[in-house]
Amino acid sequence: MHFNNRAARLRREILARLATLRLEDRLTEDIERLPYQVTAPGWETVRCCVHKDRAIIRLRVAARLGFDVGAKDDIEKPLADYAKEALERKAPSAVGLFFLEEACNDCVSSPYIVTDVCQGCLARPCASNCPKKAVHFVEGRSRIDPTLCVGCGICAQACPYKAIIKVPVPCEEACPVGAVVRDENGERRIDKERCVECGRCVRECPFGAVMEPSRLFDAIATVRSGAKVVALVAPAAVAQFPGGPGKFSAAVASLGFSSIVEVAAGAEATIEAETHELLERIERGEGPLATSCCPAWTKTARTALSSTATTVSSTPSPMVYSARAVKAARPDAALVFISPCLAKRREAEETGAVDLTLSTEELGAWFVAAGTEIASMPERPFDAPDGTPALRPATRDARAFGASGGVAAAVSARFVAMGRPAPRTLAINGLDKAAIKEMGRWEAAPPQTDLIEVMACQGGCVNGPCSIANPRAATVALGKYAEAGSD
Amino acid sequence: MRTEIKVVICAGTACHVMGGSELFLVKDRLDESIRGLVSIEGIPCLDLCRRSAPDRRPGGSAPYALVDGVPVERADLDSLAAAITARAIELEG
Repeated sequence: MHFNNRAARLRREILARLATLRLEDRLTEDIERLPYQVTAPGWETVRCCVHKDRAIIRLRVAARLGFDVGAKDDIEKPLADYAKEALERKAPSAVGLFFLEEACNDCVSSPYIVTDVCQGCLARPCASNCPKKAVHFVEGRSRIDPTLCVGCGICAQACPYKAIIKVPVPCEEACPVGAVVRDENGERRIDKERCVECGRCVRECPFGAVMEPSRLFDAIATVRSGAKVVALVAPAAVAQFPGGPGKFSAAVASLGFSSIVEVAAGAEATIEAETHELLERIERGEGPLATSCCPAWTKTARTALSSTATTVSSTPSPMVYSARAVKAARPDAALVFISPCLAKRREAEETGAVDLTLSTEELGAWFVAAGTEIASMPERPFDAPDGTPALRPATRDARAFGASGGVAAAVSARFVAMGRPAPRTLAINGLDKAAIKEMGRWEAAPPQTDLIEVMACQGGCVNGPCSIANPRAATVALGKYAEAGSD
Repeated sequence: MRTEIKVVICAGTACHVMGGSELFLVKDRLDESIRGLVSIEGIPCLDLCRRSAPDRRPGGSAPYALVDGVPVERADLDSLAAAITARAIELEG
């Protein structure tokens, strides 16, 4: 689905409205009005009526306050109660993606069906090619017997009129690891053991039914607590906003963050460690090594692929390295990592590297609520881990980590700089079903390469599930940001 | 006869966050016969969101664009391309 659509806009509108209520300290007073304001005249009804739309928006609001509201019972709880809990909690409550049952359309995966386009032709290649004899002729048209159909799709390919279609279930199609399942009542839910938080379902569900508990309120509370809060900004986050890195740094600082540190600085350490790990592995002749910075990928490797299919490097991610540097210099600071990624939330929990993760969508909503005009911000340098202005920008190679091919290119450049021949590299650009199938075959036949760079999002982190910029525009912005880096 | 259609795209933060970044690519969606007539300009902020009704704030009906001075609200590639095409037809007629 195109990244920009009504569901995405609604998600951001709710976030921006909530952030406004929070910043203006009128959350509990005005929150009940929010579903009515969103559906004010001009709203095009999605469901049976505006009342159902409002009921669903109420649940979206609760999710944006940071709660897992997958169960239907939650609809009875007043929003003001959610708001109070959100304001009072000391740590984020729930993690992981969930289905809003009320919003889910209960899409039915059709078997292959014959549409009205069928001409009832003489040739009838649908029937003659069906290996299960499932296509019959009824009233001059083909009809598929669903009890015999095995879903091979040969009939659809054979039809010269393209009259045979299969209606997909977008979330199930999008999930690369089979984590969208049905429970005993037939309701869709996310199998949290299998889910790798790549966020494809969040993006692809046309009803916006997959949500995640937002961290925006926790981030605002942390900044307002008076603590020193350090924003760790991923290259892909810088690339989401207009105006370039200097204005972005100033805009984030204007929200109350005490310093803004480039995650790309941590990527420099990742490049170094990854290079040495790969060198040793090549010397030992142990076969290809896969990169470790994408948490959606590392969980996929752990849970959806056999342990012999790939070996994932043990090198920590740029987020972990940059967080360690800040914690070493300022142990009392609170750390907030900002990126377009959802899977980083789990990596943050597992590693304990940062206190919170904020998505670029949440940051964008915060900017809107605070009235931040990025274009009119002054230029501000990024900060060093100790909070003083950074002496130099992060390197070009490290900043390019946010796009597909960036990690492999950085490690290759490091090999060449050390006088070694560049390693053979293979980039998996987007972790979809086909990519996982391909990787499954590696167990028997490992690819002839040294370094396998895997990014779960097509195009790289810059096109993460919480992106706000057009992928083309963001990729260009990332390129410019990288070009302005140090040698 | 006028030969230019002036498209102004709001590059303010609210419009950007609400999905406006791609509006600069609108020429890709236009018919070739129209593409040459269109000039695209980004301006820091049209200030339309701040002037919207209080109940619609903070984002108003962002993203905004102007086609020969006429605002397009909640603009996306399709609706902006449609507004430009309609303007081209109007000018021709």
